[in-house]
Amino acid sequence: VASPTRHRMNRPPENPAPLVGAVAALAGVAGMTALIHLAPGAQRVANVSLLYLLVVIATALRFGSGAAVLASVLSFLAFDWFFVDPRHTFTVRDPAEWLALLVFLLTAAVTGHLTAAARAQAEQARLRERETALLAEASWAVAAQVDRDSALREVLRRMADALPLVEAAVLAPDERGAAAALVCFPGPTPEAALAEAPVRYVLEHGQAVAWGEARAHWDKALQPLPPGRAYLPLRVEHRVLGVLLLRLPPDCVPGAAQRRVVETLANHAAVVLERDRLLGAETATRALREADRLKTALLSMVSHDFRSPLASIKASATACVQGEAAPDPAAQRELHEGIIREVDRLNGLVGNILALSRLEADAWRPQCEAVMLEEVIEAARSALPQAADAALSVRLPPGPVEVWLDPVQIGQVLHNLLDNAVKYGGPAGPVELEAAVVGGRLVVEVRDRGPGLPAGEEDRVFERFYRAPRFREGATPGVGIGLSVCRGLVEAHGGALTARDREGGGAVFRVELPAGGPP
Amino acid sequence: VTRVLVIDDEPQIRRALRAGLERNGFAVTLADDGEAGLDAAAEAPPDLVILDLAMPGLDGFAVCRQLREWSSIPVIVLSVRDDEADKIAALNQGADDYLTKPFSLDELIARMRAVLRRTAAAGEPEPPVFSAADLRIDFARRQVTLAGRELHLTPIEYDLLRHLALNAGRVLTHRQLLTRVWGPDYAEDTRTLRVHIAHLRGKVEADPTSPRFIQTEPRVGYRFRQHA
Repeated sequence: VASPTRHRMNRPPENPAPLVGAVAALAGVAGMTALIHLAPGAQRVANVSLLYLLVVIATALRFGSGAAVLASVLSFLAFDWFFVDPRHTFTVRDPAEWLALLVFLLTAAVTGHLTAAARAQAEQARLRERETALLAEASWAVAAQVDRDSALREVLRRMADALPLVEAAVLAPDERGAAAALVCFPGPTPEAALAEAPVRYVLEHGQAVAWGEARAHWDKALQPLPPGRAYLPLRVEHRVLGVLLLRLPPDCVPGAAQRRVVETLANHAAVVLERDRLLGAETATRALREADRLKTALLSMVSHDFRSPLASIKASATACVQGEAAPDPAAQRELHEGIIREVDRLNGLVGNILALSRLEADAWRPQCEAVMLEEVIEAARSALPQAADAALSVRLPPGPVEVWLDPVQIGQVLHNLLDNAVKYGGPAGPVELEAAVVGGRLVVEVRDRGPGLPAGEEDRVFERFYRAPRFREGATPGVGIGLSVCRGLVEAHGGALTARDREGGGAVFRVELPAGGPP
Repeated sequence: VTRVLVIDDEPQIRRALRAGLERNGFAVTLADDGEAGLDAAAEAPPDLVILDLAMPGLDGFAVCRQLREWSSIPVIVLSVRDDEADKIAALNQGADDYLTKPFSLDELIARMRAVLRRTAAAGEPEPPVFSAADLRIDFARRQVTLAGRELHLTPIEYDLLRHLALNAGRVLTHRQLLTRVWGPDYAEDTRTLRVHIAHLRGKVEADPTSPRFIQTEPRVGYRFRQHA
């Protein structure tokens, strides 16, 4: 975010070159001497000394104490030469005038010095203020960035306001411990910079190789660094999280104020890295906890929902082969049909678990394509049992409507919703499916006349392994994965799946998807 | 007697298929991997091959490809993979149909009969008339009637319907349909296909979301439903 009130610190307030100050002091004194000569009545000793004092103060204000001292001495000499009898010699006739001259010199020197000191102080204060404003604005701007890299980029941008940066980068060790550039300024940093010895040193020891003693030590002990390079640790307490790499023009040595800015901004960068690290750790913990919960739920499911169909299959199959006499054909057929039913149930279960684990691993990106809405609904209906399909009432917009989605996944979602409506809605009434495209969004509602949703738990039906209390131990098969898979798939499409009670009894499941076209 | 070669590395599947198919009047030969399967097919060419995809050594895709180099024996792929990409690859590589495991024997036999009927018809001249339920296509007159009422199809719609009907029971991939009806230059133009199929279904089907004739295989293609 560019702010119009950027405080530029690239150029520190100028302390003009000493020569300029000297010339100015000389010119000032000469000018004043001429002026006093021209102005009648100005030549009285008391007036003369005050007028020269003015020159000294002006020189001090503009050019600092060195020039002021020179101006004092020049004024003293000019005073003596031009205005103290005998004129045009440096001798003084009246001893009283000696006193006047000496007092003038002293006053001029002290005034000049004080004025220059006051000026320097004001200058310092202005600098401080500017520095504080820059840092305050920078920390606000950095804190306003939510994601790590844009916050770091902001740090570098702010740093470029304070220093004539040629190049800068924030490096951090990757999983294998090698330094990798997280962000660079202004363009990509050459790979070579990552492998530099100072980077490794800073990462290992947490000490800057930038300027001052550390830099001198480095240059003496190891090979000298190219001028303008600086490497600063990004540290929170004793943990070195990364390295800030700076490249300045070779002749640029940052002043104390600039170093302070750099160090403060480096601290900001370190805090950003730390925040990111903690966030990552928290996410990992949450994922682990979630995985643990899933594992527990899967285990309990395996013990119940897998074992019971397996038990039925084994019992039926052994009943067919055991015994001396061949079982009667009708009974045998019944057993076989039971086996087929249980196998289908197991197969459905495995499909749902696979879907769930793929969703968990975030490995299931929708493969969207343009399809006809009617074909998606067809896919949803095609695997329904015939009786259920016959009791279904479908309402679509007239004519072919093209939508943009993953036909297999959304077909699966709608199939699960229809299957659920039939299974839990029971024979109480027809199941309705209505689809429409509204403003580029596909809205599909599946409505039944079943017992509806448990009050206050409308959203819990989408939780994994959730089953409404009345179905928990019943014979209605299912383990509460279907709906959570549906919601996961719909959300992977950037859509929403919600449930609500239906007026007059029953439940409504509503799918809303962006289906307008490729983004 | 129809001779069927089953190529699958899973012994229990081979056993079950042999029992099930023999009971339905097929003569069954078994092979437990791709190479053995190709040898068996070369030695005594069967009328139909049932082929697994995931096998050690030569996989199903390779077997299908090699078989197609010298033979047009119909192939039905049986696989646990339900990825559409696999289906498309197998079909485009010359497989005649694709069935996902676990499957029911009834479904398999229905698909086998459909495939066999087509290959038997392939050598003969095109039948003058095709009919399924109350849909009737008169190829000689390019006339289509539904419950005795004539349908007005565009030439493209008629060609689509004709190709699907002549391959009744079999999935035709998008690419196959586009190549045959529009020509090889249009093989990727699925949008055109989608729109024409939608219009065709609008004329032929009472309820396109529950089609009686032209079924969708999402992402793969279309199939004219086999009517007994």
